[in-house]
Amino acid sequence: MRRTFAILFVVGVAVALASLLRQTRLEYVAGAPPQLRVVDLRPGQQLCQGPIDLPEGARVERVSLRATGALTITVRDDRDAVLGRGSTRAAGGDLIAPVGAVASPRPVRVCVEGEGSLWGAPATASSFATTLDGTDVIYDLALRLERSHSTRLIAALPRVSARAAVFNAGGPWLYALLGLALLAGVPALLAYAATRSTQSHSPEHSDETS
Amino acid sequence: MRRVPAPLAALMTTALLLAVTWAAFTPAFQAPDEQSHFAYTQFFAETGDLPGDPGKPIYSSEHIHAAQAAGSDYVMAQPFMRPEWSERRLRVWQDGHAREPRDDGGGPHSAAGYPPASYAWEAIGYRLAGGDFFDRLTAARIFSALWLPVTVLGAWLLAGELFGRRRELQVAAAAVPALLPMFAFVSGSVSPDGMMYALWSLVLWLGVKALRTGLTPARAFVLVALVGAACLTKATSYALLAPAALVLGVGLWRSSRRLPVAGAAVAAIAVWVALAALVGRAVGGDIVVSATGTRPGVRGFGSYLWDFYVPRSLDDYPPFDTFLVGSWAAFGWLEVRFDRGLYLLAAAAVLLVLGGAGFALWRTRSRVDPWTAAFVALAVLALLGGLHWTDYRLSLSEQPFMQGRYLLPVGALMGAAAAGALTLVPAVRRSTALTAGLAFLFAVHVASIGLLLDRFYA
Repeated sequence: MRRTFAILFVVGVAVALASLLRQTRLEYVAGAPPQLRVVDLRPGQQLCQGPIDLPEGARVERVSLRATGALTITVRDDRDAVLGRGSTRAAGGDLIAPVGAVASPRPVRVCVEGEGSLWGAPATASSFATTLDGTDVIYDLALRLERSHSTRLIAALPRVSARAAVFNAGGPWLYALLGLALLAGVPALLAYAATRSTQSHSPEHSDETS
Repeated sequence: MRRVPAPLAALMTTALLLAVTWAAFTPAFQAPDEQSHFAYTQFFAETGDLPGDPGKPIYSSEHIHAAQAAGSDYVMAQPFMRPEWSERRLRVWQDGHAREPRDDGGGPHSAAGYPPASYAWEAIGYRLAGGDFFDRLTAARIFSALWLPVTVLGAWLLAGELFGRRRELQVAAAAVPALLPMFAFVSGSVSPDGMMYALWSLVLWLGVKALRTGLTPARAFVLVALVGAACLTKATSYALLAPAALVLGVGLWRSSRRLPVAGAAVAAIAVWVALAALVGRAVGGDIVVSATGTRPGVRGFGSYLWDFYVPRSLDDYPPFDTFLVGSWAAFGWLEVRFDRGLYLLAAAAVLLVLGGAGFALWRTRSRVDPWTAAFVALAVLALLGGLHWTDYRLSLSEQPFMQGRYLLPVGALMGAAAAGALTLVPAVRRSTALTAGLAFLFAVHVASIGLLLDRFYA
């Protein structure tokens, strides 16, 4: 049984590690999926989306949005204080703007200025108020708030379990416990099943159900 | 008193643990149609009535605002999006909406025409849990998850009937529903499917047992009751009518106690019909398809089957893209998938198992009971036929339908195929082969949970 357990445990841990080597830089998604081009922004116009309640401990160093053009991104708090600002550059199919280091216990807004096209979706299930030059609009932008440096998923596991616990039953401890059960408990149970299955022809097992 | 075999207990515990893990990690409503299934469960739990009243809203006020707060609608099938994880958003929802009415839903939705058995079961979990909306959602999921060990039990018992008490083969068979990730993912969501898989696996076992060792009155009653329960769970289970009728027919023909056996079957049918009449949902909405456009016809159906099964390109082959991918690992609203390489590996494993099982069957063909073979074939063909007919009819109005998870009711037979393939391995190497198979399935399962975490929380 020990050998079988060791094989299963090593396989499980190796696969878990391989799965958790993916990179992540995401802090928060604020907005809608990039389903369609929702606005063509002209010079002098300002599009703002908020209030955005950043998760506890979030540190936003860049804003990523599905857009084209040359845009300036400003992050403000609910008292209109500027927390970060930056200009966009292309990154894959998206634009990204470094905005310094924003960590706010107060709700923030992300404002976009410049010339370009922006993608988003109709605000059918939105909790944001998106405005164009102060007037409400009926769509939300596709915004991702990120760190500038990516980390491995394995290093972000405490954050991942905290995120999973927010709109869910149980706390982060539950996810840690389930992870432990998955990586240690399941191999033990499978090794036990496999090993006992080879010993089951002895008379001592004759009172078992089929 | 007879004991539960230790390997079976270990596999049932494994299955439960995995299904509960999926229930805990999957974000609210990020499983196929879970919004509708939960709306049904909640309305039944709160009112004791069935949904579908056109004058009522689909979801309760509590459900609408909880789903909105969790960002559920935006996340569905949208890889760009993530579920809400701001603690302040949670507090806003708790302060403003957490005590809203729970019983003001009940309107029509995609599951409203389904039979009620699984929802009544999941409503027990919902009622027992108390707590907030997400506590009750998780409890309903866990009650669904409780069926996965039963599915594993059915696979174990079926392998025991087909191969005798050869524990290695039974472990191989039961490990398929215990470890294949889609079983745990679907069983760990609010859905009738987890219960349906369990009932199908018990029907398949009991049908084979009755054909091989005789149909007693008790077996006839339980078999019909299980088929009735499956039909009251999901109308897909009407595919069990023909194989169950075969078992009853052959069993009666062979039996020396025809009257008590027939009486037991009729009594179970009477209970089933009475229950169906009581709830008014004998036939579920999932087989009442109202496709528009071209009239369905035999020629069109033949052409549809040709297009489905005859490969035109290896990059676009429906049995691979729907059946294989969807029965192994396609999570969330099917958008959470591995790279194609893993599915090619899975396809190789499936071909190995099916080829091995077919060869093993050929080698032992003189000992195969033809009625048992007919029963198994009828169950598979009735399920596939029903799925394809529905898919064909819906394809006429360009509504996508077919999914790989729809094959999972015959999970016990998939397990039996794995056990059959294992019989080809020399006895001295069988333990090693079994460990390799378990390690492969376990690795796919762990990778699947990693994929889920990456999709929704990173």
